[in-house]
Amino acid sequence: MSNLFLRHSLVRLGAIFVLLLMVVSTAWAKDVTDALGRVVKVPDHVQRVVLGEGRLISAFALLDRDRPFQRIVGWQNDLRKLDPNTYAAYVARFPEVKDIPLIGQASEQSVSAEQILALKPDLAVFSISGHGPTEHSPVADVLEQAGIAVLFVDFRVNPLQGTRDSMTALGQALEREKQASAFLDFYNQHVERITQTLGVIDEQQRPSVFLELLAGVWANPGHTTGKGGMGELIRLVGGRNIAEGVVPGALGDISVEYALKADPDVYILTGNQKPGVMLGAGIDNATAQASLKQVLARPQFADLRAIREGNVHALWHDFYNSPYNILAIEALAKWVHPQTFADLDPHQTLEQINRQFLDTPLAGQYWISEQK
Amino acid sequence: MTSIANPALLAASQGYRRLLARRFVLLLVMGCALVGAVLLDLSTGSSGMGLGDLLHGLLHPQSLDVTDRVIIWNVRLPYALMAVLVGAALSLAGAEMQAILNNPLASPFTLGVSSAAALGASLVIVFPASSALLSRDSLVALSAFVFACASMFLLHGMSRLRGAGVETLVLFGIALVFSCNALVALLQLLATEDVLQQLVFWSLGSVARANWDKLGILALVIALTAPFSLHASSRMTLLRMGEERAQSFGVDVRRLRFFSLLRISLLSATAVAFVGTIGFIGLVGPHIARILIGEDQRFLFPASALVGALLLSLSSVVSKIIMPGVIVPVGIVTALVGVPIFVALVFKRGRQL
Repeated sequence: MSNLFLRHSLVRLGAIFVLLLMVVSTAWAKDVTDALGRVVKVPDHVQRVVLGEGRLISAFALLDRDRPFQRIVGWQNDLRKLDPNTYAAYVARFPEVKDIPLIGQASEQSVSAEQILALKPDLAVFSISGHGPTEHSPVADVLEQAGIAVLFVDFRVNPLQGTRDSMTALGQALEREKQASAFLDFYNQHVERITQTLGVIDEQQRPSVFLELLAGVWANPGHTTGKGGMGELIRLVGGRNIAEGVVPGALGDISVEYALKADPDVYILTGNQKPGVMLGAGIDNATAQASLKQVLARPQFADLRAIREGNVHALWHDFYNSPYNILAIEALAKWVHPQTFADLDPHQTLEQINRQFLDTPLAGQYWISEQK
Repeated sequence: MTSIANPALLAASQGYRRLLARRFVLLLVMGCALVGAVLLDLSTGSSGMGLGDLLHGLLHPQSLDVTDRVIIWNVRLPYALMAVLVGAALSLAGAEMQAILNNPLASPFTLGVSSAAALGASLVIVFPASSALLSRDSLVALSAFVFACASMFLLHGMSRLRGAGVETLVLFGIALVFSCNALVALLQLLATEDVLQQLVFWSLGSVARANWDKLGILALVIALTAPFSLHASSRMTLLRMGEERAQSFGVDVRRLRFFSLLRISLLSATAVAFVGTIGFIGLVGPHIARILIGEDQRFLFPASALVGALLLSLSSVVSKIIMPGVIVPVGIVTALVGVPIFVALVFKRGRQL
């Protein structure tokens, strides 16, 4: 009888001990507010991270500077597929990048929840939209049921606020607060410089801008952004996106006729690979210029006044989903208001970022203006 | 008894009994194949957990860590069972549709039920409604369900209104597919970026949306409709011989059609509301079953359900093993598996189809 009692109390003691352990281990976690405003319990000393989009590595490069991939145990294949030049640049420096397990190809429906679980991550970082699992994705639900912290970041829907919130959240989650806040101080200073120089600007004073995304790559001419995204950046630098209010949602194709009729002052293309404008890691100016010429040879927009007058510029497409968007903001500012921002030098900003924040530098032509 | 007195009738009766026995055996074989497919589905996955580990985990839950528990209970089991239930529901709905419309092209997919469900889901995703009672996920499923049912009754009503034949019903269905798809595409244009991806995800079928609540609801719907399907199946066989003939046997054809349509709506609407658009199972499942087991609807209905479940279960296996670690959405796999079978069928049966 007493033996049984002893055994019972031992079992009970054991249970209490386990319970205590659980309480203590959940205490080794911190609350991080993500880009959706959710408060996420992120364990301390995160060592194993899964990326919903491979291109989110651009944020990690700012935080884990010497080895951006040190915590990445799985990612989607989108970096290799959608921005092969940047991928090649990383592989050249970190050959192990080739062996990072894939959790999917480049879309939410290709992501395997089981594969992520099997990688046993401490943290999963997903974008609130784009090519990976998003807010209401069953993948995110399954991970949360397994007790894996899921942090949502955003560099694309609301690029400015998203970059601030996301870098802050990632800095806390990865215990790289110092690096995150140093970068954000730099980021905010550069944004403020632009908004202060511009001051209050009339709608009439805003030059009209036609931003063609993935020109030459997208099946239809006139692929552009309406609400948010890069359109937000055009507004920030004092321009007027001709597709704003015309394309009702985030993305859409405006008709060639509308673009011609809108008679934009500035024509800006984005691209990163053939058959579009080649820009980004490892691309030199001559290659970029030659590819831009080829895209401009498309008949649809050849008669735009902006093209005739030489107001043609091109941006690395992946600025749309990266904290490096500050470079796009400065380049856009110079193109939209050349006089106001005559002494702004985005190339210098690029050098500063390379020197102060990155170990794997951004080396290549990331934006160009057409040279005749 | 007369059957003993007449040797010809005796032979026929014995032949018929042998046929029945053969069909029962066929059903049994299909059932075994399905069990095999489900076990295969349960034992494939990128984590490398085999069937042995999985069964051990089921029998000794305390030996599991949280990751393995989630893999078993939130990934493997619900996905595998969802594939079975959805395959069975869509294929049974397809078989009933082909019977009452007397048209080999009828299926929940080709007559617009899936497209209507996708439209219903897309509307809630793009214009989120809030409700104190239901979660967002349930609202999306509910809206998909309502639209899918509405599409069936719209079809029924239109054909009644014009007094049109069953051929016209099929044409209405095709018109419905195109209109719903066009509206979904329009909604994609209106969508903000953060919901755009969800629309695409929804319109591609995926068992990854499975959970135990949905499994329970779908199982309940099947349990409630399948007995009535079986009950109606012998009258359906008469209907397949021709409407007048069925009426001469005392079958109330209009009543039969109406209740069948009700069952089809429930089955297909619930299935697509939970997993999105999965094409071809509802079309090809019944055809394969028909080749194997013949036109007797008493056997065709259960055989269709089994074949549909088997097809989707195998598709689920394929979707996991084509690219290791990556899922090829099961909606894509079923179409890729379904199309060649369908084409082969059309060639084989030629004009009879």
